[in-house]
Amino acid sequence: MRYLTARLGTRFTRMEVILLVMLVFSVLLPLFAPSRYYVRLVTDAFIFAILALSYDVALGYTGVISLGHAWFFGLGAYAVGILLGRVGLPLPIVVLIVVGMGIAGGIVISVLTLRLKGIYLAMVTLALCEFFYILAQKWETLTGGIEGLAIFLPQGWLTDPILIFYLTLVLLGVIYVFLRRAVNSPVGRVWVAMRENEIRCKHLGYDVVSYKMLSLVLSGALATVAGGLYALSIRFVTPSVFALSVNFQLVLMCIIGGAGTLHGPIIGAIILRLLGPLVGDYTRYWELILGATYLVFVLFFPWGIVRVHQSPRPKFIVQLQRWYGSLRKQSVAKK
Amino acid sequence: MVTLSPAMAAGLVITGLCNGMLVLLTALGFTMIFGLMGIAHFAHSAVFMWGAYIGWTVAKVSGDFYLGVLAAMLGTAALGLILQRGFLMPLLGEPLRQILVSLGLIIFLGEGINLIWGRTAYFVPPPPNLKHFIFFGAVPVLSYRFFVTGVGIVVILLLHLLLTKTRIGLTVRAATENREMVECLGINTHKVFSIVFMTGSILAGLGGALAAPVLGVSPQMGYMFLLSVLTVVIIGGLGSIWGSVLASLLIGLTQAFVAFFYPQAAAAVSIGLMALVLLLRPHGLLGKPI
Amino acid sequence: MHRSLLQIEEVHTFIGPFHILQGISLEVAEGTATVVLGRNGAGKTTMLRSIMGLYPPRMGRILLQSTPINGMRPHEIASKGVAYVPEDRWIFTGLTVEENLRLAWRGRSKFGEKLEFIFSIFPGLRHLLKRDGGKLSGGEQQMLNIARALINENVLLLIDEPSKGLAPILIEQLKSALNKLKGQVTFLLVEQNIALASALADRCYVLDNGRIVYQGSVGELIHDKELGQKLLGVGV
Repeated sequence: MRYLTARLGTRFTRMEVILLVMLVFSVLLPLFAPSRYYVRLVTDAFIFAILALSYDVALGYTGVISLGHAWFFGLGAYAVGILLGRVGLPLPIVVLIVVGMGIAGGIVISVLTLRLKGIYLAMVTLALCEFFYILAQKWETLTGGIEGLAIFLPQGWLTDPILIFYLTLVLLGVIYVFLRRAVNSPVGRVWVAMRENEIRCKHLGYDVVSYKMLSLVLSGALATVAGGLYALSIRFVTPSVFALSVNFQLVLMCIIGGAGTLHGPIIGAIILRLLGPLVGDYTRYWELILGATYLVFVLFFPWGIVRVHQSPRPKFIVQLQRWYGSLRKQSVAKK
Repeated sequence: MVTLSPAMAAGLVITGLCNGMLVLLTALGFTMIFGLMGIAHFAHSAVFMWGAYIGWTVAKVSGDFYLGVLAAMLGTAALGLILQRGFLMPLLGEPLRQILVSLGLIIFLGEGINLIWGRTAYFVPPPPNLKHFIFFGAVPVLSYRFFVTGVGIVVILLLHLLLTKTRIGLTVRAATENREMVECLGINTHKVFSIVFMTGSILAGLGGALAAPVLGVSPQMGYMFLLSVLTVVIIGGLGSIWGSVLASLLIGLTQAFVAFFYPQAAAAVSIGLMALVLLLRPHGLLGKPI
Repeated sequence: MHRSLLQIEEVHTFIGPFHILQGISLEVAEGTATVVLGRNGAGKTTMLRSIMGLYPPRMGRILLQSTPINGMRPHEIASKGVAYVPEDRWIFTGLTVEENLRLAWRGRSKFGEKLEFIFSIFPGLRHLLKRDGGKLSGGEQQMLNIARALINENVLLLIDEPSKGLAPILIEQLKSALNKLKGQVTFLLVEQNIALASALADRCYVLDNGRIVYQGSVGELIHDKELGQKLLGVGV
């Protein structure tokens, strides 16, 4: 690994090399996958990776604590479901509307942040998403209720899982590169500054309201696009797109992978969405394990796998490491 | 458009009060815990759900509804203690991680219910002598709802007396205002936390056991209730007990009346009220300005 | 020779990454009033809060009657007879004056008797018993703040800037009240008002940037104008 990094030069971090390898693997996947099922599985993982990226922009970089991010996801999914499936609008128009909804939603949330801070914002965003969950169930004429909405499309490129897979992969790649540049730009640095200390930022003369709105609008648009992709890929939309468990999974992805890093949530998303169905086939305790893993991470490793060396380690782990270190010293001394 | 007679209105009032009381029992715990400890204990709605399931199970097995209620209160008291000591106290002072842990606990506790009781929803019969309907004009009201409303009123009064007339109530009121100073006066605030947390959990258990005959039991009820509780505490003001009382009864009554005329719009009532409150008084009707 | 009630030995206290107290040592003899002077930000409040256990020291020891109290939780330290009278008063605004006092009272002697004792020091509180803490004036709140510390048999009072925001006539009342108590209670006072400090204190320390830079009597400090200027930066 180090050899490879050295060869490629200092332009690529170790993490990016890993991502590059994953990229190559993904591109070749449809060629050697045993069935379409696996292609669809990875497509799902990529869609959630996009969603997790959008969440990281808001939470990890700008520090906006929203527990209702699935709201955007659901909006995008139902927009595609209703406008493309039911009404039959052409795809480009639907895309525009989906992005527009994401932007509008982002503006709504940024207005909320003006009035509410911290816990209040978390609670209200949670309530908002829950409300839409109930709304989607009750408003049967529009959404098809609990049964959901099936999207019927003529046979074509939109219904080919392999093409959808590559579309999603390309979008993920483009969005990642774009976001990477965005967070490294002066705008991104202001976002990080706002996350650390918003009041000080304001006093330094930055228009925090606009920066926050920009971040939330971007986050919202990307999340609705993810939702739309989701609807497209499985051609079925149910109220569960707004469910608490989606919000929970998002948070879990960012925690496992490490919020505020961009590549962390991608890895978190892929781990979660790939492991889920694979393990779920063997045990019905998957959700329970998920919940337990989540709690372990929040309690002991708040910075996630990617930056685990940074988290304050509990005493017993420190003691274990010291003991292990002394063992190694002894074995080295013996040689 | 149906016309509303005074008798029917009275019936709707009882229905609304009953629904409001059920939410209030859980909202009280949430708002007290937040006011005192600054913790947004989302998992409290899962405690409510466990109360409902424990109450229903014990009632079914023993044949005694009231025994079930008692068991629910004891069970949730224990559950609350475990949650507090094991998960929330270690993270005191780190609000973000507390929120995240609470979120995880809802999922974890919810899955626990799925595993033990399965995913189906069940209808729960009211206790034997409260099964009949009383007719207010054309509106039938289950007599059980009177009982629930009565219990709610008793709880509110007891809580008020506890807070204003006892030393522990005095301590809780003071600690909600300024925890550090109470500690400097020689009072172990960690014990105060535990008392409030357990009280809140017991109330949630009571609420859950009482809610079962009205709402049935289902693994989804925790999530549905979470929204109601959040709406109440946001509208009433986080940390304000009377605010929660006011908000829950207000929402309960409004929803009952709206549901009579426009059944579909009932769910929108609470969101509409919440939006209004957030625009005009973001800290809630009786909450303290941030 | 007075016994030492409180001893601070080489205490370092951090608030987050900031090294506020950088190795201070202090001694307060029983029955005396000791004052700590210093500029804003020198660490005086942090010192009192360290003693009280609100900001536990990272290094060093704090001894109360020869028992170490550093590392104990504030309520344990309070139950040993240490009372904290904070700068911002921290009166419970939702509670009445009587409730404020009742909360502080630890029940070792009868409440009524203690109330009478309080009224002998602060007669003004007698007719305010049923008033809400939030409706008191600044001076009344300060009286309540100190009264709260006197309602138990406390041995050490940590008082942070008692005269802040008080009108001169109230400061006089305060001075006479505290003088009445000298001998029964030991005071560790943080003050910016030199006149009050010299009227009350037997001994003084000066804290600057987290270090003790002077110890001696207040009188000396006042008379040596150069020293006073250097240490406190204002005309004494």
